[in-house]
Amino acid sequence: MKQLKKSLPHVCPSCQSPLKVTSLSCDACETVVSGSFELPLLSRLSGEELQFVLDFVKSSGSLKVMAQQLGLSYPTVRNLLDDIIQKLENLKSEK
Amino acid sequence: MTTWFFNPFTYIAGFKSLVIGWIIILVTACIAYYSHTHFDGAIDAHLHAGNKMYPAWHYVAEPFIDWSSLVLVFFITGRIFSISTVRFIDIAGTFAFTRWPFFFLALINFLAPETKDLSHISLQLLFFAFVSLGFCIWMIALMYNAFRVSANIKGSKSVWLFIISLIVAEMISKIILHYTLH
Repeated sequence: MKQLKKSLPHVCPSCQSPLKVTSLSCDACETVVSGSFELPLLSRLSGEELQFVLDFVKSSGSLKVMAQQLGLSYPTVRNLLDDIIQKLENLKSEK
Repeated sequence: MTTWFFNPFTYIAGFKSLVIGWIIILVTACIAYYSHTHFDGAIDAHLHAGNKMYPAWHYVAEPFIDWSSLVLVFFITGRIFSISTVRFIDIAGTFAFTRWPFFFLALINFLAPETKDLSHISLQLLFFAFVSLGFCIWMIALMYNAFRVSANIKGSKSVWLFIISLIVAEMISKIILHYTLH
């Protein structure tokens, strides 16, 4: 059977407001922690954006190395990073 | 394939595109000398059919003045209006690369029909004019993408800034060419 890949939802499907974590559980001892926790800012990025951030960190923050690895030009990679920065700024101001 | 024709700057920019662009400009200038094609403006290309002879260096200087005007204006526009850090080498490199449709334009000018009287325009001349216009539009599309990628400006803002900057660059190149070469 094909494994279903689930992605973490971060906005309410009904009203588009940011979602919060209300419960966390331990698989080993089945302890459940309840409360109201905000999702980390990075978890609100899309899968592709998150992968870009991970690649950026792995390449020691070098856009030149990133550009070489992705086969893209330097300004294209810089634009992708700037778009993510802009998105993070917007998400931060939404809080 | 379409990306390579209209937005190669997704893959190439900076110093590499500057070197390729300069080679394209030089080769185009050599062809333009023999086909009597003048690039007398940032986005202009005219076939000079008169008897007046221009020295070879005019054909080299013209496209470099055009390119310099474009780079100067679009770099300033990018620095003022972009939220990203605009690098001079990206503007210079991508705009040098945008000149390659003019290589084909200089080449097809060898086949240009001779016209003495503009009141009698032949079908051949009309076809030739449309093909030339096509190369100009292609170059402008490349310039727009060069600006968009190098300066990271999007949406309607990028369109208006591009149009205004292009007009300013055209005027500057015309003024420089008028006082230096023509």
